[in-house]
Amino acid sequence: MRRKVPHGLKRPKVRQTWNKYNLYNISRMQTPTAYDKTFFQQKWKAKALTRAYHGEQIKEKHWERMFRRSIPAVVPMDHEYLAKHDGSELAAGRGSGLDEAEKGRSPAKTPYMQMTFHPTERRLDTAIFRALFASSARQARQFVTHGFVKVNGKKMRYPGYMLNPGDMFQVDPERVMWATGARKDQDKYETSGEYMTTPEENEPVDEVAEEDEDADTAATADAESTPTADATEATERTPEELRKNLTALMEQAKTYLKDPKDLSPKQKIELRSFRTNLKRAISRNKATESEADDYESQLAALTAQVEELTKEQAKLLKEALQRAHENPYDPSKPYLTPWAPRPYMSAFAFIPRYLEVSHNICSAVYLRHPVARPGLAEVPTPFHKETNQLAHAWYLRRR
Amino acid sequence: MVVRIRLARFGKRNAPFYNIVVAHARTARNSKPLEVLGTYDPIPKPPRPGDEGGRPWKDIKLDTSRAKYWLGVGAQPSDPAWRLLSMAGLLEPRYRVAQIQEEKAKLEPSAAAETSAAAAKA
Amino acid sequence: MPPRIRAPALQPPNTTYTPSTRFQCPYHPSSQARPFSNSTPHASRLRRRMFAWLQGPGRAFKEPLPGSTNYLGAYDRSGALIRGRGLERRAQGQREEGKHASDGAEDEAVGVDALTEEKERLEREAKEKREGELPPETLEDLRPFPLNREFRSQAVLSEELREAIWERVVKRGSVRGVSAALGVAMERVAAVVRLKEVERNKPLALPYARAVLAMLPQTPLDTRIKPRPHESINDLPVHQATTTQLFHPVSESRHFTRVDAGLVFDSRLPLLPADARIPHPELVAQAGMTRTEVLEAQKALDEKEKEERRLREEKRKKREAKNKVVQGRRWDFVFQEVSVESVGEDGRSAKGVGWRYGFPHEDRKRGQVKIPRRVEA
Repeated sequence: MRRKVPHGLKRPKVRQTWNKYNLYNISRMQTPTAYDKTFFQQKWKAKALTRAYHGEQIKEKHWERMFRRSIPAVVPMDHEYLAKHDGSELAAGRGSGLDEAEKGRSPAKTPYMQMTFHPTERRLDTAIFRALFASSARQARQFVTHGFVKVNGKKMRYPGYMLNPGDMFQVDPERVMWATGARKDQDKYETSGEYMTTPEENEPVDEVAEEDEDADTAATADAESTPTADATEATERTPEELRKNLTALMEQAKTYLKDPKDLSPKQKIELRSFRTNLKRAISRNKATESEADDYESQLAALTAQVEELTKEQAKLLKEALQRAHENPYDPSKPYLTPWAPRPYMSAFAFIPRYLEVSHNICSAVYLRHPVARPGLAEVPTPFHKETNQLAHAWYLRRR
Repeated sequence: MVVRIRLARFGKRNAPFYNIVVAHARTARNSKPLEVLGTYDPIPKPPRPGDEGGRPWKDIKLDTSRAKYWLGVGAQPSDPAWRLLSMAGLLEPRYRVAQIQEEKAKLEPSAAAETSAAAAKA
Repeated sequence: MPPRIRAPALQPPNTTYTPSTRFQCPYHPSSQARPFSNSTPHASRLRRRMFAWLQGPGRAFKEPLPGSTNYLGAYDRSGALIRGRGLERRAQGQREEGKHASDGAEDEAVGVDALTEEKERLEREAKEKREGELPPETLEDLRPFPLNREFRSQAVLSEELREAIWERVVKRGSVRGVSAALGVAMERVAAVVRLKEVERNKPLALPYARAVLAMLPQTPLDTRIKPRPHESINDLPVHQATTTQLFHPVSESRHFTRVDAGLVFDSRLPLLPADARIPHPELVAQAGMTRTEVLEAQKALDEKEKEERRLREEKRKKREAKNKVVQGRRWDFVFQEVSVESVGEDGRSAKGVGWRYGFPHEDRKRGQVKIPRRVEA
């Protein structure tokens, strides 16, 4: 594989990645002009652009072998229509002017040309990228070669493996969390100021953000001081004290329920103690000293004691606790914890219909080959149909 | 010349696969044999989908009648071949698997007797 | 000869910066990272533009939009959400009102119990949420690639719908029936069941799954009798023979049906009509029936499917019962009966038992594809 400029800005090439450079390039992309070029030049340009996106890691010779001039398509059928008619209605009355009346309606065209690169979608690395298990096709390829991917339960080390309909592929969830999660050192860049713009523009924004953070930390610090102070008190507790304590915890919960990326590292460490605090609050309450060790039943028992606690508040507490349980702060992980999606992921988050993905276990099933249907091509391609058509014409080898 | 029943190794590095063959004793291991009786794949396969015990298994293919014939005319099995053929019930067992089987067979009737006794008591 | 010094006028204007307007690269923001160098890295006009875009219109894409998808197609050039335009204006008005209201509330709330305050706040937030909710996405909003109007992000199955599919398949025992009832393709139903089975005994990556599903359009579980379909279940594949034009004159009076059209392509091996080639031909048969008849027909079909599955299972068991199984300590030895005759007269038949003699392995040869073609499940 030849090393290529991944995200140039001068002569931008769109790639299969969630990079912000790439997003910018997609947003300002334009179909290349045709008026000043020969047909060969148009095809050449279209080929270069499309190949930079579709399987740029595949060698050109290999892709030429993969290319198919026939393109799979389907037509959705209505079973009620099929039951009602036997096909003769299409020809009936043609000679007597019936077809003239029908001229107005035209069914959506099937975008065959947008399917030019459909064979690349069958590749294992591309499918992993499409299933949102990796942040770029190159990364997906690396996952395969490094042995983090299984096909039908067996390790598959070939990124060029062509998936067959019904194949299930699994990626190691830890790798997926790392690939799609925010960077661990994100806060270093976030808090260092002058982020991505001129200082004049950025200053007021940052000041406000810092103020917010200060306020938050103050709130959490206050909140934390209450339960720790309580810890020194005698073990018997009135419902009022309990309620006070819960309120403080709630403050913490609220901070915790915020997007974890908004938090400073100091706050994160504080939030780690949230669970401990709540557990301590539960355990210090004599009435709830039951054997039940799952936090939900404990919380239910605790909230039952305080009548004034509204349902929403109870829900909030429960949610925060559960979130802390499922998405904990864990400095040993190579990604930001609590886990949060990496920036600019949402603009690229789509799953084509030929895959059925279970994100819970980072597994997906390749259901069938991608197809074109009226008005819709299932191969995700950022290019205009003209560009793809020119690329298709290039690979027909009539030049 | 002595005719032997033995294994001929095929497959790849780290992926052995054996043909169970009848061949003259002094011919090379992978030379063309008199007859291929079957195959032995020593790499255990994951449990079959319908299997209750969920135990891994090894696949052995064998033409029992031809094996019996060759044993009858005096073909001498090699040690590994003896092991396989004894498991198939064509020879007296000499090795572990068969021993364990026997022990199990010995244990099982007694266990069955115990349970029946318990049932009778109840 | 002394080195020639270029006149300042010759320098291109965009390379000269005054320190105050200088662009700073985000990747080397602190001086600690490069203690030996005071210069900022070269920032071209293009990079400046890009960061300006990322700070301006591109800012919306950095974080996911809560409760909605967040694609390029949903925004205009200035980075405003197209379907949220009216909403923004309304929200702004409300925010101002809310500010006054909360000012008053704060004065009163001094000394009031914290819990009641919390309650009020929650109510207020819920109200705001209801009013400030975005309208549902149009097709235009689901385009991740602005130039490609033929592609859009299609909905995925929601967690409840997946659960419902699994439960129904387990209860009813028929993939076909569940597929037709819920409007989900048969392959997808089977895949959901397979994935659910795996999900039961594996640790789940819940934070990731939740975040991703929140970014995607979803098909919710529809509990009505005729639910809104997730996808079209009766897709007719376009046959290769039908992609070229074919002229076949037919008299106007002739009753020319789909079956006749299939004969035109090849009279000896005609193309099957559409009703036979779609995945759910039974729906065509059921179209004219009453409700009770449909239910009966479906029941019969389910029974048939179950019976077929049972027969397959029986056959497999029968075949396996022929094998002799010897239990080892760690694994079973399965003896399968074969025949030496299968090698054929010359001993070279491909169907014969065992590794063949006289057939070279070409897997180390140049130009041979070494990637496996399939992996057995």
